[in-house]
Amino acid sequence: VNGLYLYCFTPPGTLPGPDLAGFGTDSISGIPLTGFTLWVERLGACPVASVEATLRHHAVVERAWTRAPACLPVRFGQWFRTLEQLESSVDERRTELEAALAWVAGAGEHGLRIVDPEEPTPRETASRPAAPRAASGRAYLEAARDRVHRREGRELRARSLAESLEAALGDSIRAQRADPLAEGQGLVTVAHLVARERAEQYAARVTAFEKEQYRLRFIGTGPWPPYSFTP
Amino acid sequence: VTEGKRGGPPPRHELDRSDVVLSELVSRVLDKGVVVKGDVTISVAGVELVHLDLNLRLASTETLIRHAHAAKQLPPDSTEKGFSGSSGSTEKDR
Repeated sequence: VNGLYLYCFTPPGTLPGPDLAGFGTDSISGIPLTGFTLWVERLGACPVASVEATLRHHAVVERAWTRAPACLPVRFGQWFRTLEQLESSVDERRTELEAALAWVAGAGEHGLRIVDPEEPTPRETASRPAAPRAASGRAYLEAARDRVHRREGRELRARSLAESLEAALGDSIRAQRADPLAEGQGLVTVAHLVARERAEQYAARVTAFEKEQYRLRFIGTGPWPPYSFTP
Repeated sequence: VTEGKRGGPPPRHELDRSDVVLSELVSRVLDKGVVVKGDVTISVAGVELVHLDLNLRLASTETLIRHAHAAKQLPPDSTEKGFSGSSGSTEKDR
């Protein structure tokens, strides 16, 4: 089979077990490359994106993350025709990748989706009737302005909440990523890079913050491989 | 982290936890992680097909999740895991 599908980077010496399957019939193998082990699968073509495919990809990355002292997940869809092409692509970003792998060592990604239960549900948002046709150009512009103001207000609230959360978590996290969400999906989704030895401290601080923000709902997820903390 | 039992009014609705978990996982795998080479996917008019596909799929998340459950594609612990984002980032002790 020609072609290599790349799952993730781990430090040298960490190899996939023989029982680990990906998309095809071949097991996952580890290619040593200066400074890394690349977890790859021989595949004739890049898999097509689907829910099942993303879960398969994730299963391999998660195995690497649980086995290796560090794991840098690769985004779905990184397929290379030849080993030379893969090596050349890695070499172009070697310094950046090495630094990132060191940074995520011993850590996992914890997710938090923060939802305001008073906001419309996804179903309500989806089934909301289209706005009536504006009676005039002025009415149209005013409606558009109101929509922008509403969206900006939600984003401001989301970012402010994320900043407060980050301050409350302090040194229990290495980094935070926050993205405001569209109405119906929650206020904001936040990812935290947390060292394994800090996980309990992190959970306690999140719980304390959650109690302060008792009107909001917190959906905690993870820990995951550090997908959101890669270059 | 658990969803707490708080003293506030009961929520009008609940985002289903397993829906959140799956959509966040799919988002992570398709939209996060290292991109080693530039031509990840074939694109049309600057829109990557994987992302286009993701957006189309996420537009009908409920249907997708029903299909995934029906096909038993979800890992047994899928309700315990989930997702995040990319902008608005800050880093400590890097």
